[in-house]
Amino acid sequence: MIEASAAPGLFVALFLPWLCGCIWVRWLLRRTKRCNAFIVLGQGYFAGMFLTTLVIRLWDLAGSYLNFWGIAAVMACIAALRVLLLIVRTQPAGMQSANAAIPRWQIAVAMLLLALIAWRYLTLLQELLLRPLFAWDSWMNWVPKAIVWFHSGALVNFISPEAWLQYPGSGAYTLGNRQATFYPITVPLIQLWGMLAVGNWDHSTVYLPWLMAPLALGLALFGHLRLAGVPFLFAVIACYLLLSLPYLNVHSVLAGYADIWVASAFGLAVCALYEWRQTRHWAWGALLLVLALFCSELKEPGLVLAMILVVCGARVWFALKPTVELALLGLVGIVLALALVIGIRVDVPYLGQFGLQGGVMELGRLGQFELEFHDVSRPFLKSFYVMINWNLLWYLLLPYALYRIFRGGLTRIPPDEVLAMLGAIAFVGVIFVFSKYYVAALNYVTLNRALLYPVPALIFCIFLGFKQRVYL
Amino acid sequence: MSTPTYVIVRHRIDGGDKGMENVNPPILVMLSRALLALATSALLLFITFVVYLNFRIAGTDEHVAPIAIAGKSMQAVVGSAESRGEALAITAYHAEQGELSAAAVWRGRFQAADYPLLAYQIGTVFPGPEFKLIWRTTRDPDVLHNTQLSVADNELSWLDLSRIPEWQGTVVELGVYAFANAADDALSIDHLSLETLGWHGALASHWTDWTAFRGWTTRSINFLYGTVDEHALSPVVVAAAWTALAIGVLLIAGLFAGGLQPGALVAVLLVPWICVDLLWQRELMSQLTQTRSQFAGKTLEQKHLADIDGNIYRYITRLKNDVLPKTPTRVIVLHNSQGHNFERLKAQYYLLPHRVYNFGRKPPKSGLATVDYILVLGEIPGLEFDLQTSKLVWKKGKRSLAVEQVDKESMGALFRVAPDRVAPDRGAPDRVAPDRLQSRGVEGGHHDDRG
Repeated sequence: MIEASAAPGLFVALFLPWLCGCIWVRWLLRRTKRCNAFIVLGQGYFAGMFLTTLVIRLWDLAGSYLNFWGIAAVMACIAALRVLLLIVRTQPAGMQSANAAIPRWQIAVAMLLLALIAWRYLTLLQELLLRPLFAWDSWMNWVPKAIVWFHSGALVNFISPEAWLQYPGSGAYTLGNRQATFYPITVPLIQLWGMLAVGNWDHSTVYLPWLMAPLALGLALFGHLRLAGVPFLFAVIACYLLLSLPYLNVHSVLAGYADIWVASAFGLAVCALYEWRQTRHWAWGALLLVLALFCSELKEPGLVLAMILVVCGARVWFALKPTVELALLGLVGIVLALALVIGIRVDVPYLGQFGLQGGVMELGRLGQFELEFHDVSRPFLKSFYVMINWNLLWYLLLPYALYRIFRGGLTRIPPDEVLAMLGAIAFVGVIFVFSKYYVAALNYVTLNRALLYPVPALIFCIFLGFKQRVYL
Repeated sequence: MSTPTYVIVRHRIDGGDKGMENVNPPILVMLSRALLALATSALLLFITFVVYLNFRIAGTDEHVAPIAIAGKSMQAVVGSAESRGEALAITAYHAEQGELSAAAVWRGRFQAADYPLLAYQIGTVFPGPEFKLIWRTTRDPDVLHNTQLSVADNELSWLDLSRIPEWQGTVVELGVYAFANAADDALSIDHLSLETLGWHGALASHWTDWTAFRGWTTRSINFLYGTVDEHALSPVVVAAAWTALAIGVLLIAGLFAGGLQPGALVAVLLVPWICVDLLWQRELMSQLTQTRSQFAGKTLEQKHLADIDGNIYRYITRLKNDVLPKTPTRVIVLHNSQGHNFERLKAQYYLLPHRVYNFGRKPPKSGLATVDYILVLGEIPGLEFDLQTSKLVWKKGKRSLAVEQVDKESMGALFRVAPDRVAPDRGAPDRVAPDRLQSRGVEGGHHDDRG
């Protein structure tokens, strides 16, 4: 275990961002009149972790040596600011409770499922704490940056191997995987936060957020489903299905990858998108944008996921008539067809270049992809239906999707949250079917990691289908 | 300003503190329907399995007597062993090139096709050594065939040999090969039993496939089979078939008894999921047992030394503590590999916060002016250190670089780029002057990002 002197730092590192996030998410969402404690706790965790990474960046930008308690003080001040505002405003917050009668047998079933979740996460906790950092990309791509920053006390640059060889100074580093040099830095910052807290770059407790993230995701999922009117037991079942997924568990226990964060941020953004569509309240729109930004700052595919979220959010904002949308879609289709023939390239500030020319697609920081069909159906089917990665999720999805399609009519445009989720699945499909990354599907290196991104949103969308109906 | 409203969903438990008498009778009906549907479905699956098995064994000789091989009837051929009761206990492992191994065999004669099933019980302290079944046939007696045996905690385990292509011909030698983690790893072979294919043995072999310890690998983060290998029948497929049949039973029952009950449907969907989940939990618990035996009660350093990369950790930590400067310095790591290699990347990880360039088999053609050290991991063909001239030499002597060897051991060698060859001003153009280096360029600067 860690030394006793590091315990307060660890406690603060784990719970201060969560507290700070909860306080501000609560501030943001309480005005929507559609919120509950589970949403505040779940969304608050991710908001808090994102905020922490931003504060670390600002701290470094200010030229200060990275100091845990200094950064923690800033976080505490941000949290205290809201508490202060609450005191200055003497009006008490209005409270409204919605009673929902829950039969005892449903409580019993829920307790059973919660016990299974508790058993699972206690097992994962022990494994996480006992084992030194294990997962390959963690120690190859993500953690090295955090280790360097931890030792140097500043967010020193990582540059390409070629630039490193010619670099005259002593302040630059490069990684053993050249692409990883340019990966977004939010995940290493999360790791750095833990390292600064325990004063050690090499301790398993640094990776506890990888265990807390799915739990916070589960809380938010439950809260959003309940808010949407999904019966209690269905909301609990949704959480159980999500949190028991073997592949999600693996990304908690073999910690250090970015994927569990991307999946969580995208999933929660889809939840916010649903509320944004329901209420059109700016607070949900703001949360959606924050989560989209978080998504884009976690990993390169997160950039595309963020764009999907922003497009779907804009669709809610503009609320165009179906005929106008169809016309726009037609226009986009024509532009794409023209682009395939004559080529097109657009420079988007911050996101990079996007284009389509001569069978080559360019997606901002993600780079260029030669579009060519590759048959990757076998690894997809094997991962969905043979391996234990997703338990029975994809088996259950198939009849459910057919049921929804025929029940909802084939011509109706799905709601925005479903469009966002389908957009993410389509993105994953296009990348593996039409780009050079098909190899990573054939050997399963990144197939399931990419499939993880839409899974929380998928479970949310499935269970939205059970809202406001008496099934049990 | 209007007061914002904050909605809290407060759950009220229906029924208060009343007892089970308040459970709605339809719930019990629903639950019993679901369980009945699942039981019927399981029965149908079992019947299908038995029918398939009979179809599969049609034409084989059912009257072949099983071959029971007691551990004491085997003899050690690698390491040493002694009989303890009916079992054979390994008393010492053979050590060679850092590997601890032991093997014991039974010699006889039988047709592999007659015995598609193996039952075995091997006693150890879990997770213990890694086991393989080994055998020789008359067709190619010099070849030692082998297949992985599952590591179970002293339980009777089963292996379906019929799915192993090499299991054919006349077998004349059969045994167990073990790779130990430590010299005192306990191991006793209780018995091996070769059997004909029956429903009990076939089911048991599937159970072994699903429950045997697999352990984390570097690929676990990418996918999880859920079985000992990819050719085994997946529990997910079985659970899906179980669910589908149960839904079918529910639908048929619904036609005759008041329609489909959604609650029963949910239960039918949930129970197989939970069963697969419990299998996964069992795997995690086995993993935790192994992890505890490997790491519990150890310091961070001891944990690293006990890990799969313990040799790299030990080597790099020694270099950092005893040889390299305490302040971060520039190090080039060379290794005889292409792409992402575990050893070289782990070396870089442990070298941090030293500034590491980790590409290629030979020194890069430019940029050496800023480099302080070169770490050569393992042997690299074509790259040699000339002790007399104190130069790293490669390309059959056409290229060289003046260095000072500061450390050498079996894991690798560390060289300091000769101070007199390095320009004092790092901002100046590359002034390292390896013989003909600048004029001819250097091979080996290959960068590979696959992985």
